[in-house]
Amino acid sequence: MNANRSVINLLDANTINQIAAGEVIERPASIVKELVENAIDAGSTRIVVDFQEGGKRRIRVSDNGKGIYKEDFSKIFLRHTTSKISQAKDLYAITSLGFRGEALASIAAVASIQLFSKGEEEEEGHYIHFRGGKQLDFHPTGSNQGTQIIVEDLFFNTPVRSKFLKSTQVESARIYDIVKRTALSFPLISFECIREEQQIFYSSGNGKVEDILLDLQGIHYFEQLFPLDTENSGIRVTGFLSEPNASRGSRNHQYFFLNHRFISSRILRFALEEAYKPYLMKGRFPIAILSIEMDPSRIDVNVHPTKLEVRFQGEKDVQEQMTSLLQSALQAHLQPKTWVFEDKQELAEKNEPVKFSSDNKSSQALEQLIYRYAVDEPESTQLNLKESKEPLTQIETTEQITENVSNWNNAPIQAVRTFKPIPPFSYPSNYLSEIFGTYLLAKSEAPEALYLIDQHAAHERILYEKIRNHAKEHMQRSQQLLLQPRVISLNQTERELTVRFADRFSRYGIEVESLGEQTIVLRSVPMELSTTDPERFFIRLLDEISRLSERVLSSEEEDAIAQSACKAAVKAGDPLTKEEVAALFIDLQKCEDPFHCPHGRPTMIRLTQAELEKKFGRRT
Amino acid sequence: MKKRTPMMEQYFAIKEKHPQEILFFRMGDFYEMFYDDAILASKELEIALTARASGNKEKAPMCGIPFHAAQGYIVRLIKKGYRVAICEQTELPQKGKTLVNREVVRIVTPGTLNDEQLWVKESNQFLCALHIGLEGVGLSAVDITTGEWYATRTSFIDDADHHALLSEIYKYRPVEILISNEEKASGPLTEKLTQFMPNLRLTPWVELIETEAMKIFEQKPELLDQTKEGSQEPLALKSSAMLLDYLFETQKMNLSHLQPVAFYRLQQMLRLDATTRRNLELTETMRGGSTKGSLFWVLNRTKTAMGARLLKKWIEQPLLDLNQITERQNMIHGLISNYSRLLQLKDALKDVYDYERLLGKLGYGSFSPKDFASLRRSFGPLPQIRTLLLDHPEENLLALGESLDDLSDLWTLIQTAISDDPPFLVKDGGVIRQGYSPELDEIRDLVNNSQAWLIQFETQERERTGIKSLKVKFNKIFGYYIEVTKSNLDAVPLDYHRKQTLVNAERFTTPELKKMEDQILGAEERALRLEQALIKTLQEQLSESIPRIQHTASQVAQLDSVISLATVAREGQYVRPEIKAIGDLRIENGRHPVIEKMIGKSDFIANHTLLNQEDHRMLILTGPNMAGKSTYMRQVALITLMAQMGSYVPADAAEIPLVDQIFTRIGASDDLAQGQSTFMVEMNEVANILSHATAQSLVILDEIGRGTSTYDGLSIAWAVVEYLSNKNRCGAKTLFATHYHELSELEEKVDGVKNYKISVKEEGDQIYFTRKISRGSADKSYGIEVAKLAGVPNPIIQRAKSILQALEESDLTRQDRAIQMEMKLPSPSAEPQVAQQHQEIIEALKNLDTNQIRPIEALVLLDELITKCNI
Repeated sequence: MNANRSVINLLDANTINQIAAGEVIERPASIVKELVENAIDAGSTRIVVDFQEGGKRRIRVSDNGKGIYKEDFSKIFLRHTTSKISQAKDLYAITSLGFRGEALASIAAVASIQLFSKGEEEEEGHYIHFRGGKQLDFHPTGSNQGTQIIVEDLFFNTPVRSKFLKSTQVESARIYDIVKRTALSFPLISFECIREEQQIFYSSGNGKVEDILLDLQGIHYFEQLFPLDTENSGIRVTGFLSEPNASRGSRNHQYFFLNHRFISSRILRFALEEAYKPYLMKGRFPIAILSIEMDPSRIDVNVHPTKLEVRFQGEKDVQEQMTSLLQSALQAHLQPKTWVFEDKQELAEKNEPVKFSSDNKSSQALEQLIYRYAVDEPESTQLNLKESKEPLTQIETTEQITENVSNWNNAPIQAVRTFKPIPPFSYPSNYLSEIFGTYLLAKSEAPEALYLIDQHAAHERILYEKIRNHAKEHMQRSQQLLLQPRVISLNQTERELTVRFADRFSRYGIEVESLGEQTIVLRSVPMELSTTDPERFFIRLLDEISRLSERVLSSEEEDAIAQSACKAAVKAGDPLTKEEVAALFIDLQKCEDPFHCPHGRPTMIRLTQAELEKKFGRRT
Repeated sequence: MKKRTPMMEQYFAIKEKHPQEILFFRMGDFYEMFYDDAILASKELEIALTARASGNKEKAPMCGIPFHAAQGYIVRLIKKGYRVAICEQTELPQKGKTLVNREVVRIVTPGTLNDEQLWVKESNQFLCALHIGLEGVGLSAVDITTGEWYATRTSFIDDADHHALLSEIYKYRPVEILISNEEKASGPLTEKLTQFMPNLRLTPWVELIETEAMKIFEQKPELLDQTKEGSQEPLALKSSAMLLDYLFETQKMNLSHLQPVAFYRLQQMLRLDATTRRNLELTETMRGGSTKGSLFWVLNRTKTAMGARLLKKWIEQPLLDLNQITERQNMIHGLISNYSRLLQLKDALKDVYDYERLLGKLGYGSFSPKDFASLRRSFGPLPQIRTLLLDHPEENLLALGESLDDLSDLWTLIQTAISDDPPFLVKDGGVIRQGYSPELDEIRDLVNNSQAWLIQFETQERERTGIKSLKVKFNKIFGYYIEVTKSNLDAVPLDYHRKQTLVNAERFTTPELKKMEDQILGAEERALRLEQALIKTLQEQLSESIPRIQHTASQVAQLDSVISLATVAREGQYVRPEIKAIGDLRIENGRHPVIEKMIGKSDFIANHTLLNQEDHRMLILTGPNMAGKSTYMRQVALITLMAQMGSYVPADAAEIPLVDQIFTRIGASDDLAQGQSTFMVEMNEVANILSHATAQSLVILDEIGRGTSTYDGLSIAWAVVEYLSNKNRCGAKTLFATHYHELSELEEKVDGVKNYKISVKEEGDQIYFTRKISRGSADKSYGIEVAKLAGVPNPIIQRAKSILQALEESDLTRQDRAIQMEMKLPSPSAEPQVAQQHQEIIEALKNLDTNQIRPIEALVLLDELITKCNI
């Protein structure tokens, strides 16, 4: 008699799967990852990944592993079925890559999945077709030893999910990334990656990581890497690191594998960058392909469905051990006198930099201030807060700074964003000093205020406006032909970027031509940039572009190129000559927006007396 | 009737001697054609047809092309298959004579034209000659674009019906063949040739006797290396002489790039008959003749045209020598093991141009300044290639490096002499580099100084006249001049002579300017002539080194081919086959290289193969059509061929014993087009196989016995199986696909025969092809199911099924029929007891001379004998 007041429903298996799918299957790349890991666990020596439209339309993964027997076909699409563990205690001694028993069920719930397989002792294979959780077909078929899985119509029954997918290009890049990384950590397995029916990657499975790198990056890349094989406190690290003078502008070239699983780990990144700190300039990162082996009991993998993050026992210890491992490996490899230092010294002598003149105490205070301001970067710069806590210099006051900063926590200070038009700065009357080879200190008269100018950000802004304006006004290229065209060796990604942007480059006076499969010729650079190293400029340009978001790249706005170009051109870390400071002051005032670099970060920070007094506690 | 004009008489006299050619009759700056030639040329070349009075009140149709543009038109005509005779004026017009002498100086034919427009990068352009002697046929083949020259011969004893000869000719795909007049008119060989290769151009030419042949070679003795084996072979020699004779007659060129004739014997190589070459689609597909879909398409990853051509030859001509095969395999292994070295070598090869063909231009006299630059670019990477090879651990690659002449002296020669970016034509100047010839430099300085002088002159004149906008300019028609705008005309001094008037300006010259102009133009002309002379000397110097360059070209081609094979092996996961002189043929999980590439490795089902000299001599393959039998058999042939080429093979493992010949009898689709019945052609080929196959041969038979009644077909198939598998008769390794299930009986009865089937899975109403080959014979042919898969409408399928049922019940079942047959067959071991009739048959056979008999007669006889046996 009571009307059914129940509001809670027991979900059917299919719905459960769809929900679970949401966690496990975010995008085509997750599917590829799961299927590839299954293939590896099946003992394959050859795996093919083939996809169309970034995997949104079709994904095919085939292998030559031990295959699936006819009897097991009915179970594979059920959730929580797996051949990798049979009870919970097995979780603590995981050696296989996949084990949660969710992957195939999840995929089958939200896509059309066809599976061909032949078990080891079977004569013929079988075929099964599932779609949206329902079986559509099952019959015998011809098949080689192994399994082939085709996934199509992803998210056909959960259209909201498919709206969250990114463009074909982004999804393709993600899949390619996964195949690349897996191939690198399993050099004994041959991998082939096919995109829109074109082969974009092949590794032979002969066990040599060098061969894979050769294909990925070209012959010349390899000449910049050196191998390492070292062990300490139960951690073994093998792989390749870059020579210090072969750095890159982003962290994209760092691959970490923990017990053969590709992972992402802040700890390891910190350790690596710490080890390279003496050798690299700001904003430059090393290339690293490192395989780390440690006792599995020190790692907990069951953290997150996509298994990318790992948790260590005793994170601090691990970080320290890794840091020291890498440091000694680097030191062992390098000569006492490193390239970077030589360069700096030479440059310093030639250009007679303006010398730092203040006394130590005030420098410390200023340093702390700067440090403080550096914390408040706007989000668009992609640095997260934690990372910028790293000290900016090598001065031994590191610990002091950290301590002091925590004392300042109570009074957050905003970087002043809006200014009245800047007072006329000129050199040498308003100039005070430079510090850290990065900032210029200047004083304005009326009103009196202290300015801290980021010389690189300012320079970027100046260049950016020059390049952009020139391109707009003149409509014809203003280029500077190189006396000697440079031949540059590129990897796949860099090549694609070049091809994609070749036309737009030429509007800025950057002329490139293809010379062969992996090399290009750089014939000219924008007139505004007088760079002594065009090759480095170009590589950095590509680095910068690759960091920009897809949205920005797709827009026809010229800003994207201009931004990247000027950033790539600015030399980091070199003190400016007198002439350069003078020119900078003058040029900065001519800018449309002298206060922000093209990425939105401030070029200068102003401290009025009032603000300083607040800082010193003289005011509240 | 009025007579023709003297010129037309001359024309007709010459034309009479060249009925087959389009006659280009030189008249002043034009080549003219008349009458039929004109009509034809006008149509083919799309040029205007006019007419010319020819004296006897009629107007002769005429069309002409300018002399300097002739080459292009000639090429177009040759492409369409015509021959062109070039008739030049051999003397200058003189007073007192109205008619100049004219002579045909050159005949251009498809086989003798070396023009870049005709080059096909990956293919040779062979001209062949056949000399039919008493004992056999000599075959010679030359490619005037590269200078390669090969010659061999066949004998009538081994090759009565010319199968081997046809196969060799097909291998060359000649654009033109020289053959004696008599043979062309009515010879049996001609008939066969035109049937098999309908687009072949046969040119009648004179066959030479031995003494004449030797005389021809005396004119160019370097082409005949008497020390080489086979150079004394008369038939091959005579056919080569025929070629040389033809070249002399049709060309007046130096031909310094021709290489000495390379004689070879057919027995030194794996022999494939012509139909096999075609059936296996080695370098082109059967349908459409395209490269994509052929074995060459799969294996070709060469970087140079020379490498591509050599690879093609390797495919068309696999080896029979264990050492040579092992050498190639070792090189491939060495390259795969050291990937960075492989990449570096590939990188070095990418700048290498097709200099083998460039040498052809040198010998042909059509070498341009740009070709110097191409040669230089191609020689550039040679030292690096040599270094990379010398550093390689694999000994054959090391040896290749040691014997590689890196031509660095020639590179230096060209580099010092020729500028960085020479023009196409010599007359554009700027070919010779500054600093090479002091004399030339001096003249150029003179020209430059004059240019500087002109600028100075301009400044000077501006000051003198006060005309600020005065300019000194140059154009080809008027030379150097001073240009003054109309508004300034009043300031023009008296010594200015007007040269040209324009809308807004006037152009003048002065004596001073004129003098300088003469000096400059004179100097420019002197410079040009000097350049021409220097270029000629350089060409001669290069010509002297042609043999060296050709040797390097062949080394580079070899390297390129081996790299290509290594690349394909690495990416396709091919395996190194174990090659031995004799033994079992075993393939583990073999794949068809072409089909695998087309459908993807994951989708191609691999299969094992075992063929030996004992119990697995012949495999009888049954099962439905469309299921993969043909693919399987072809893959066995291709894998064997690839192994004997020195390449790696698509399999998990392979052991290949050396095979002396591969025969295939597959499919019958094209035969009808040739005007013969399917059965006829089939029997022809079977006859060829039966007479030539040895125990070392590999035979592929796909459906013998179709095209005639069931019992006949079955009987012939049965007899053929018995013969081929018999160790004393033949014993070749054979794969025999058939739709006659009766033949599966033979496994019990005949030694060495084993049944295999291609398996089919039935589930309910559907059939599924698993594409797996396994032991045993198919019990059903699934014809109706296959028809259903192919799309035959369902009502017909159902009806067919019920008819089949009725037939099977009412008529003898297949089993019964087989039993019946068994009872009727005379057993092979019944030979000692022969009846009288059998004795007659034996006598008839003994008196048979197979050399005198034509195939059709043989078949008629066979038929009679069969009838006799059945009485």
